[in-house]
Amino acid sequence: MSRNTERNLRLSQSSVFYYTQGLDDPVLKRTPDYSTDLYPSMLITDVQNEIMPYTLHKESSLSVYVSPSDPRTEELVTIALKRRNHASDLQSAVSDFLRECVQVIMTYGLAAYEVAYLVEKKTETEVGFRLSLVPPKALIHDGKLRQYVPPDIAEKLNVSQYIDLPRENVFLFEHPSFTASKITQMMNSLSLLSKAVPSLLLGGFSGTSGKPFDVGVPSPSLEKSVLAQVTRLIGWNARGLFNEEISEFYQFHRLLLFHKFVTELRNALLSKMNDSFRVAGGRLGFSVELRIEGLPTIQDLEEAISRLTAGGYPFGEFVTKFGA
Amino acid sequence: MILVMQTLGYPPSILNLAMVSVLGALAIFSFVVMGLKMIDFLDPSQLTRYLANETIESIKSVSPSGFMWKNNVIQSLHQRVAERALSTYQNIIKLATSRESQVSGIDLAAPALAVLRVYADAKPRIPTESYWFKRSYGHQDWLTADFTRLDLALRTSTSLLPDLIPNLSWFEKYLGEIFVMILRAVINKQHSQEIIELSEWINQSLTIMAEDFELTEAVYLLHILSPVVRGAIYANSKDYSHPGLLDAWMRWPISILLGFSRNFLTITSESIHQQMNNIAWDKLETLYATKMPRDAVKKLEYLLKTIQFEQAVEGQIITPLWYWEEIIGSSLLLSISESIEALIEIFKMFPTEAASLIEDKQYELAAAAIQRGLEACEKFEYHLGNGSQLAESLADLHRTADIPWPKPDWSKFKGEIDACRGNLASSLARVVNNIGLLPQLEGQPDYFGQAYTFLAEQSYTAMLTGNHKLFEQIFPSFFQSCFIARQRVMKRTKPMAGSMDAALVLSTEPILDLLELSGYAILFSELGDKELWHITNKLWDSFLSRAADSKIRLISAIAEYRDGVFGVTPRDFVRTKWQQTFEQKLRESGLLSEYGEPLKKVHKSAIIKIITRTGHLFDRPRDIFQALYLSRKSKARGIKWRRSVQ
Repeated sequence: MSRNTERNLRLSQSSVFYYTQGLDDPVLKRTPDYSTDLYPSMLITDVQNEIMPYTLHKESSLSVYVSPSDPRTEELVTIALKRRNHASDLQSAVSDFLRECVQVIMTYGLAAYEVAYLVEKKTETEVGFRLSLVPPKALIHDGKLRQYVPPDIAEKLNVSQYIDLPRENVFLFEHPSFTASKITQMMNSLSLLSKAVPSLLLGGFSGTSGKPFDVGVPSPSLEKSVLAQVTRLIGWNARGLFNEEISEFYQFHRLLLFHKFVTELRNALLSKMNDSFRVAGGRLGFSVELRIEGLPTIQDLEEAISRLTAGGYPFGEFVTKFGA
Repeated sequence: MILVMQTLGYPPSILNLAMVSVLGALAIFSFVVMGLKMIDFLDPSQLTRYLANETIESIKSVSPSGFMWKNNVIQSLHQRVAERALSTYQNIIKLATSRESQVSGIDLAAPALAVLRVYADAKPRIPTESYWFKRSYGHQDWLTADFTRLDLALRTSTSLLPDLIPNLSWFEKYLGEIFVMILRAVINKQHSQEIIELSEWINQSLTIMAEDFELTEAVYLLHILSPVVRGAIYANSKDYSHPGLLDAWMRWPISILLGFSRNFLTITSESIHQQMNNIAWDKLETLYATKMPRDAVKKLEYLLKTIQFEQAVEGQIITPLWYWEEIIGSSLLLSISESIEALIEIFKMFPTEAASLIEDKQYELAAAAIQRGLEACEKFEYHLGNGSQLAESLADLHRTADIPWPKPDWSKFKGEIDACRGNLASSLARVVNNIGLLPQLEGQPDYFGQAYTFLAEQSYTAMLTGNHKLFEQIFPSFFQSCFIARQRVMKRTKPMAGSMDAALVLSTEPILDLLELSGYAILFSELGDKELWHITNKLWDSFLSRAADSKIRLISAIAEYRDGVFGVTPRDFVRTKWQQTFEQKLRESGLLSEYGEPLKKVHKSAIIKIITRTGHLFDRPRDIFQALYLSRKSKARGIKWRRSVQ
């Protein structure tokens, strides 16, 4: 769809977009924001980078396609997902969408997208759709689905402070249910670990033997141990921060666990995306399923963990296959 | 006591009396013991025993058998106790050796050697991080420090935490100084029996240390003790005890090799599997029950740290056993490879010392050093074979292709030993004729005979392996030594009344050796290495131009005489071995057939064609030499050569 065409369209959606970052609003502050803490922000970036690998070489086996194959449907899906204005293909659009979505989920625990329809201004016919992000932190989920808008912004945009959102058009992207609560707990702990300077660190420098450095000195490995414990569920290696403390084997074991976590998350998001396409397709008259191939599956990763444990396979093979 | 009882109104009974008598006797005996100990304090050798016992107690206390051995404070305490005891030991030795003293050096050294042995056994079981090892600060670089350390420093506004680096060899340094003082004192006294005995003790200690993988420590002792011995040898070359002293000194590196290489036979992939299986990671003593070099112990300690980390994180151990075995196997093999390199460096002292002694014109001592050096090379080569087998066995543990696995370069090691042997052979060639001219004293080893025999063997091996450079270095000396050898044998066998034939036969042996080797020089030249005959030919030409006309006649007569003698001499066996090796070489090249089979190859050389015409080595090399060289000389005119030569 060209820019000229896009100019003739308007977006039909209930939610309104505004930047929540930096707003000093008591309602928005209720949702924790992990993006400013060291360890959570590192983790968020790592998950974002892993959810869809950057394919710089042509030999990449990564393939993103719609089934059944149809150029029109592919264009509709590309427009629905693309996050940047310049023209992009389906794979770039899907990658951008997943990266944005996963960043929001990891930061706020949940990402809400509304299926917004593109309406031709002249004819008032729906010709396409977009997955529009409901501003993070602004979603209120209390039996009803509502969007909160701070008073000054509501006045500026001329909308109500609480906007009811159509449940059938809003899709909540989140962690798979079996890990969701644990991930929230993990992010809380990581946030705490980033901020904490325990009193023992400041008070521990007066050694008992009168030496400048002695038994009173806190061990840096304590922080590493806590970091490894907190991230045990997803196997994140914190960019090698505790590599010195762990065996290479355990390092690769965690690496594979991390890829498994990312793969599970990707699968959950893909499934939710297809749900949204079904809703949009019902209105626009298409039926499609988005598929991603060429990335390791859960089965691949479980098999890799078994092979790693059994021994006899070079670690480098895992790195080549799944990335470091 | 009885007085007190009476005062209180209790009449003493017979039992009270008996008890008082026993206590009285005990007091008298205690006084005797105390008196004896007072006397001990006047005897330095007794005093050193007390200090040694105290040190041994400290060593035991910081190894797994000790009470609270894991406690840093206890470790530090025992380190200080041992250091103080060793320091006192040094002071006693200084006092005992600084004046005219009748105290035996052995008595002074024995307790320290006992400590060294106990320590050699205990040290691998002391944790690397134990405060038994003295500490020094290793300050961190802000630009290269790891993030957590940096972050902690920034968040607490402190400097970077320094590392406390353990000094693993502080103890050996103290003991080494003690041995140096004692050895110097013993050598100064020139008491040969004490020198030999002390040296033997040091020998045994070095073997034990090397066997316990404490090669660095053994090498350190060797390095600090060597200058003492060396100084004595060069200071007064006429002293009677020097051959023994030199020989004892030269055995030290061999002892280190032998001790170390015993491990080649005991370590296998299976033994490592067993040892790793026996480790209970929550019981430190089981970790230190393994017999490993320090680098492997450090790896074990690293594994322990990772396992403890894993347990803290996961609540269980995730890393499987095979990974630990692979890490330890790799570390062990690397340690062995590095140790072999270190040993090769030590072995270079043999040619170096031999060359120095030749420079100093101490030919017999040089010959003694060379002989020990040759023995050392032989032993080293043998044990390299075992080492290579060990490496093959450990390869079973290498399961992950990208975990770096050490690849000891066995052929390089062998090459370096061969080079060492070659240097020694060259030195021997330089020295053989000088020793030959010295009178042979009763009770002294036959350095000349040994040198002669070795040079003959090396000349042949140099031809066989195509090493004409070595041949050029040693064969001229051997050539000359044959005539000296003949004279020496004749002189020694003169008193053999009634056995003139035996004396004659033995005195002709060196000439037969020379003829035989000259014949081989022709044959090997025909096979390809022309330089060999060129060297030999030049030597003979030079010899004959200086020799009387009768010399060729004499040589021909000796060869003819020996053809008529029935019986086999010891040198005949050596020459037969040369012949067998030569035949084997021809067979491998297809120039001799096996069991009557047709020849696979025919050599272009007419001489080779002739000697292989029957499928066996038909002609003797000495006949070939006489036929092709001696008989054609103008000085040989008129000699009636035997049929085999014709």
